[in-house]
Amino acid sequence: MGCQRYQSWITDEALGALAKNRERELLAHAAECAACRAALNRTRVLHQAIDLGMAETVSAEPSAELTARVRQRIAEPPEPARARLAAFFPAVAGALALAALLALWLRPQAPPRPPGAATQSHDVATAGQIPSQPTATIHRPPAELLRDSGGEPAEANHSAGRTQNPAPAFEVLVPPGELQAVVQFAAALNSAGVVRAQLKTNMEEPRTPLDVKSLEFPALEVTKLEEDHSASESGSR
Amino acid sequence: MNALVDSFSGSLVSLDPSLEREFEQRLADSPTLAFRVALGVLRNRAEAEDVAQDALFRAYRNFHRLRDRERFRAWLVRMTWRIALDRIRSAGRRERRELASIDPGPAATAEDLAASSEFNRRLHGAIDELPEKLRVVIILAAIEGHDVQEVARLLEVPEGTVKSRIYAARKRLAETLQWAVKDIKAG
Repeated sequence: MGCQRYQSWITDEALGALAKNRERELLAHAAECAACRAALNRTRVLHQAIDLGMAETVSAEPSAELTARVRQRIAEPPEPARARLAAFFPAVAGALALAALLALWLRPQAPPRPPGAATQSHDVATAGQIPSQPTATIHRPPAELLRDSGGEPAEANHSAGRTQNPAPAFEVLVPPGELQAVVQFAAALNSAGVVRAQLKTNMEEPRTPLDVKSLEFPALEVTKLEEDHSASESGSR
Repeated sequence: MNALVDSFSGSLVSLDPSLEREFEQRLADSPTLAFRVALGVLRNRAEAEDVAQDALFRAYRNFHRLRDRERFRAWLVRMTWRIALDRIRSAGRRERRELASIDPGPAATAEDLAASSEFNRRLHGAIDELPEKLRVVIILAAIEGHDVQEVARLLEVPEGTVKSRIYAARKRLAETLQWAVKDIKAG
């Protein structure tokens, strides 16, 4: 049976996509084959019904008021932009609140502090408190924190003096990245590990004028070229 | 600040007089196209009118951005198509038919079959299942007066592409709707 080869031709014929020579061959075959004739008829009816159904779906006319309604909408005063923005306000407010919470949660934690400084958090501002600021504020003059090499700890003197006459606060500008070193230095001061006299000596040492001495160079020995030349000639002979 | 906001929002929907006149000309012959495209997607007259109105208003609002005015109809078709699809998605519904589902019995002719509500219901279901590229082509081609050349112009694709897509879409629809003609005998 040659009916198998006509199956795809039947669909193409119904869609109007079959070549003329094939169409003639198919029709000639369908005239003799009842099964292919029925298949061809069914396929044609189906495609015509599809076309009719499609056309029916989109054949309706819009109402006469459609154009008028479009013109009316165009003529209406525009909706103020702030009213449109107001519709987004709850979402924006929620997003900002969430961002603030995240920022608080994700902020850098303060570095672990030395035991001496842990009890005096009012003395030194840590990196966690001002993460983006290159400055740290020390509320106590270092002179009060220092102690003499043979004297008593400054903390005792300071605690007595602070109650009567609080020391003025001063600000130390710290370059970015060196805040940790300053914090450690302040902690060392607080823990009375720095000797004031030694620190003063170290700080003042560069201020003493340098002893400038004139450079002395030994005189160079210059031999005469002629003597060297004659000596070299006698040597070569 | 408020004045600035108001003036900005006002500028979005006001065209200069020459553009206004040009848009008026477009508005005279475009509503039917927008309505039919929306109807092909939604198959509901009231919703199709809403979508067509929305599409035409957006076309007016953005008319000054359209550089090639000859592309207005293609531009409007795309806009209408998108708005109609958005409406379907936002509504989340699949039932868009207006006709009742009453099967009148076996049909002998294409006219009888096309008049069958069951056939139409399944036809619309089969159209919905088509890929978007095939669906838009088959709907535009079904609109009266639209030949392959016009569909190609509206979609801004080659005519050969339109032909092959129409062929593929109709073939798929026929495969889905084979049940409707199983009892038809040879003519």
